[in-house]
Amino acid sequence: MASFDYNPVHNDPEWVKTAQPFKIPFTVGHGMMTMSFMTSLVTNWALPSMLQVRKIVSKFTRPVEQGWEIICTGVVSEKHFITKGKNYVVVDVKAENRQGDLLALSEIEVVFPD
Amino acid sequence: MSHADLAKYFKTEKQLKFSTDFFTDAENYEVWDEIDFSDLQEVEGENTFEIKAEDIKFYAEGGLDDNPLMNDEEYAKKSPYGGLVAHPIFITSICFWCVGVKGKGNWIRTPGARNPGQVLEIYEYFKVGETIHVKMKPHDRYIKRGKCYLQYQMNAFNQDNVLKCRMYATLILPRTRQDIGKFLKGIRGLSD
Repeated sequence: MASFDYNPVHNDPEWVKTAQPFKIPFTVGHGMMTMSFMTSLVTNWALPSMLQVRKIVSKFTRPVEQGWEIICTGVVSEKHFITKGKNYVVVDVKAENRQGDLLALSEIEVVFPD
Repeated sequence: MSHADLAKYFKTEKQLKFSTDFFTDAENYEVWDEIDFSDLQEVEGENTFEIKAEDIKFYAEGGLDDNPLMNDEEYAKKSPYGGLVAHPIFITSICFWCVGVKGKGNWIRTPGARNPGQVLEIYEYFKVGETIHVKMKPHDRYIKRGKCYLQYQMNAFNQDNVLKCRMYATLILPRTRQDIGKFLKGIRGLSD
């Protein structure tokens, strides 16, 4: 709803019972919702520190089903030393459910200011 | 769910205006096997998006993000940003609004579409008061493991033509208009 994406796979339980784009008979969460959660893991510290989130590359590996808890974790995987104002890090973020199933992956670049 | 069912949750002016029915006009959506790559001129979206505080706050709320820079106007005003900062994925709302129903890019509304993941390049955070227009063009079309992928480059500019964000919007789509027609009838229109 926040995204204006009303694809019926997300909000029409009757349609999805037979249409099954993901080969499952119930609605699934928006991929952009998961991407938002993963990005928030980074903006929580980047925004207050005036850092620029410059690039986000996400891949969705499994549809998110109702009732699942999404757990996001991240690690700084790269540090790029270029010059003042252009140095940046890459944060690898993954989203999993409680069972440990991988739902999505993101690489998020964060630029450090002068 | 009907529009009336969804409307119970609407909080913003744009939500009340936006067409939630992705089935009507679906027969006229751009189709994977008909995309014209001979003309790569950028085309404007149908609509522009005037960013209001309620838009930014509702997106943050929808993503369960309680960052006060995205939710608290008074707090954000006193911050170095001088006002609310939109969540980076807020570009999704902008794209769906600006693409509209009948214009180029309307394939993003296709019933049966699946999201494999996205690439965003963010140049400046979106702010309240900006009016955003989106220009887009086909970028790639491919088949991978039996699935049809379509990718458009969508560039979001503000009223001063400052490039705010670039999205390589990608979806896995039904291949033909007949496949879309199956989805409109509630039948799976994919072969994978």
